[in-house]
Amino acid sequence: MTYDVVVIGAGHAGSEAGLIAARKGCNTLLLCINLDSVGFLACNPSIGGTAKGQLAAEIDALGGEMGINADKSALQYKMLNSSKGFAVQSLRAQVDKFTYHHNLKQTIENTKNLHLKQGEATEILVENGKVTGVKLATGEVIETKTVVVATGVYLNSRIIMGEYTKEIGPNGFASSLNLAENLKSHGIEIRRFKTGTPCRVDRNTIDFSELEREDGEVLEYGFCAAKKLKAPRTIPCYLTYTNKNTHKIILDNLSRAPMYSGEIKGIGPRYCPSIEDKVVRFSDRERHQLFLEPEGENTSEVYIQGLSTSMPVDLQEKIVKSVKGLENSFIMRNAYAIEYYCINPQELNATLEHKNIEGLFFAGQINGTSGYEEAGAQGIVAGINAAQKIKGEEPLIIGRDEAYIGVLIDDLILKGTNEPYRMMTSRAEHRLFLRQNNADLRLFDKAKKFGFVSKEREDAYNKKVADIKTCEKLFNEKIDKDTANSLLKEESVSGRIVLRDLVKRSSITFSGIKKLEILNALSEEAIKEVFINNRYEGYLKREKEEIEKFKQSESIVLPQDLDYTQVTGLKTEAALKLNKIKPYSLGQASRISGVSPADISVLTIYLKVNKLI
Amino acid sequence: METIVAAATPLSNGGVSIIRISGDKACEIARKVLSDNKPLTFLNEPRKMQLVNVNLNGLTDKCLAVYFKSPFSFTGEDIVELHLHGGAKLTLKVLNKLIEYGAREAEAGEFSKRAFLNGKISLDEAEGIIDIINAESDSQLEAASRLSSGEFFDFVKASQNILLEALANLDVLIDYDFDDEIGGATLKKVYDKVTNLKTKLFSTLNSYEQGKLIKAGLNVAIIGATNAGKSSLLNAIAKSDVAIVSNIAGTTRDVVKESIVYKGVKLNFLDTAGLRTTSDVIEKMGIDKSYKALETSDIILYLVDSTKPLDKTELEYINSLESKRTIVVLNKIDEKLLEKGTQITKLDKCEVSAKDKLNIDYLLNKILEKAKVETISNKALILTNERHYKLVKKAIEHLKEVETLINSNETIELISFTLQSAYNALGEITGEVGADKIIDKIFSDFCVGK
Repeated sequence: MTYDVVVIGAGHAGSEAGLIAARKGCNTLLLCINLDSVGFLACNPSIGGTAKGQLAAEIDALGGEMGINADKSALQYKMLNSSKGFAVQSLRAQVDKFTYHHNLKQTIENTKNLHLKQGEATEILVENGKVTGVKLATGEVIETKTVVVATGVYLNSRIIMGEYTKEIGPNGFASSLNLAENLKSHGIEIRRFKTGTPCRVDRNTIDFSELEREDGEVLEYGFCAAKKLKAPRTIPCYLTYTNKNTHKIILDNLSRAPMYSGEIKGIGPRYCPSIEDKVVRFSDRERHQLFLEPEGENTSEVYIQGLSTSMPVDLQEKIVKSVKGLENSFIMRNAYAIEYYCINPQELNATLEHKNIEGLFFAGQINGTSGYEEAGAQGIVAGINAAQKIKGEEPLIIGRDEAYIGVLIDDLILKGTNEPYRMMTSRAEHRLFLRQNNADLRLFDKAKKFGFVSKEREDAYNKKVADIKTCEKLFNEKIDKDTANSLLKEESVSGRIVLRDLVKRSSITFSGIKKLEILNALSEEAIKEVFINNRYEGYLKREKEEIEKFKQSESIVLPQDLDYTQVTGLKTEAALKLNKIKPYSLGQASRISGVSPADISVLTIYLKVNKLI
Repeated sequence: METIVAAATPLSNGGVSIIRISGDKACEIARKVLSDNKPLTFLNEPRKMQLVNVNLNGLTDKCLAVYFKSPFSFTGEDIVELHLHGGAKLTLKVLNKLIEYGAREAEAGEFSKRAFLNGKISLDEAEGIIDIINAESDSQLEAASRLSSGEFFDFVKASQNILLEALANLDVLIDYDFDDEIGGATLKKVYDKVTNLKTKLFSTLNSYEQGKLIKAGLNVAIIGATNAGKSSLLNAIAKSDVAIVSNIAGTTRDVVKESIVYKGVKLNFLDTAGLRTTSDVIEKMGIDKSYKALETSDIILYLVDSTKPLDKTELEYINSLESKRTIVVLNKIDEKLLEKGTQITKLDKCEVSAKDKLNIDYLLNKILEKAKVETISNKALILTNERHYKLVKKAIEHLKEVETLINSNETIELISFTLQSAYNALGEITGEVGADKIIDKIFSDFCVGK
């Protein structure tokens, strides 16, 4: 039997890739080293967070599963950054990691064209620069036209707890031992990264009495824009802190920390540092926040967010017990660091296909990223593009001006990354447009053309668009002075005022506007969109101008056969980088690390003089 | 490209005179003027000088020759330099010979243009070099060379770094959802940074007026009754030893009668007709022109014939002139004086004799003083480029907006967005943002393709 798409790995990238390819009608095989690890949340029991919430909403908009599955498994929601503006607001959900796994596995099992199979891929078969199949550890050969490699942290992984190390994957799952060698034999650069996870302690041994309780918010929508939340649960988290004593234990025992003793060679994420890293690097901070998050509803395991470490277990116990509320806690699972192989994403195209091997796609942590959402985002793009390839249709390339997914992939393939890459709002230069609340609107056309749009989603979209149109008309109406003044703080108006002018005043809040009687019939999501568009009108206009400028340099197409070392005046480093990456446009070229603005002007002049652009 | 040639040193009787040949045929053409009885080893050993003979129709002289092989030369092309004995005559002779053998005389700035086209000089430097090529006075040259030396760009880049820091401060708040306490302290820090930078940018902006003067020169209108001696004063100024008459074509406007360079500053004397009220249509047209000149001038010289008393109407008119930019020039002090300007109280006065060229130097100094022109300032950065001026102005406007946003407790995302706009405006100066537009402009300024 020949498959259209074989996906190696059924984590957050692999699941999205497999699901979307199957939803697009491709005969798809989803391989996983252990079926109990499908959609496993190996680290924190949550989806979303700053910038990651946007990614999850975008995956959802394209027809992915992460948002739906998180909503199904949510324990509580919180809108982060709510005081910092509409564009940077991000949703985070605590989820039950056991239901998350079960729900996702079941969805995969029930998806037409998608076959879930336990098995370890050891070789990718390539003929004449084209993928032909995958060989399993059992010797079985599976023929396929395309492969999506989504092995996460499983390539030759090794966990580290102080002096103790073991060649194994996360949570005791087996690691993949032969595939990395095989990738190397195809000329693919292999690198070693590391990440880590904190202890899980027994809820029954925690003293919550003096900890700050963190409840969730009751929201109308979660990540999925097509489905209202039914009865959102708000199971609490708790906040506690490290203290001077915690820091002393760590500092006194740094020699036993693998990060400092040299035991760990992989490069870790700066943005999600271990506690020993935080204590050393931010030595002026007297305490660090720790969140106690439930791993699930039917378990006593509690995740200590902020206390990731690779210290030996005896020290882990001392560190944990030094924290308020955890003095008598019992560690059920120890913290560990994990090292794994990944590739250099600069070898990929914006479609996530390898530049030199046709039909071979990469997605998720193997591309040097960190995080479920980053993985899922790449998974859905790789899955869509594998399917587009099978169908002989135009590939999906998402711009930096269109989605966080675009920013993520653009950064990976052009700048590359020297540490596990985490998405952040500050990476998205056009973030005023790339809001979580409009992900469904801005990506609908793309989803329709490239992704998957269910009937339910299309109906929800049409309703939202219609509501927005009605709302825009209502924003042109005048409202009476008393109503206006009841919404304004400190200032007041002397007569009737047009709603769209009123919302530009800084003391007007969305929560006040959405309660206006004339907007009664409209959905909150529609009012929000119109509110933001009016409130930010001037800024959005400027942002649009910036986007136009950006698009201009994106539209200057570079000759693909140009040998950059022949461009006089170009620095050697820049020329070599350009030769390696072969950017599609001048805009892309300008974002490659090691290519300076001066190099770009030299290149532009060369192209103009030689009439190449 | 065609091989071009020019003297790289002034045509005077200095010790050494250097001729530079650049282009594909530089070696071939140079070989033809150099003696054949000695192997020209320098052509095989780039950047190593050789003492060779230069042959000019039987006449032989020694010279040092050096070869810079492409792309390791100023222009990026093959360059041969001949270091001759000083003296305009010899240099011209060699130049003519080289032209005879196929080189073309270089146009102004053509070596720089080729360097730019071959990626040998940066965008920063190119804009300055264009200003250098077009410079007509020392002050202008000074400002331009500062631009090309990157001093202004260093300033802009330092300003950008300050903004980057502020942006990073804000982004941490957004990326990590920190609480309001940390937020407040950060905003205060950002506010201070912004206010500080704004002040700095402001003083740079103010230097533009000075820069504009340097570039365009100072417009001086000479007005007065018809026989007060305007023409003779202009003549006296133009022919005085202290002034250099500018004869660079295409730069003067039609109302400019005469341009001179005094102490490094360009002075444009505007042509004006007499200022009598008249019904004569033709004369009226001339007068209209005069009023126009008055409006656009930086300095007004009101010329008075000191041998005649001023009538009441004229005195009234003189006293109505702006004291800030008017100097009353009492002419003909070599003759019998009837008018000493005692009734003119508000305005600066200066006595001259156009006929005997008396006090002309004094008058010119007075003009510079009045216009508050620092002749050549060594201290402050001077903005001379209109594109740069507009962008610095834009950046300041965005920074002002940031202050307002912080003061009115607006959201961090808008503060950050506006800071980014300020950063981008400065980035457009250095070419970090929108380099293609700058390159287009430079291309047209360098007259590429013509």
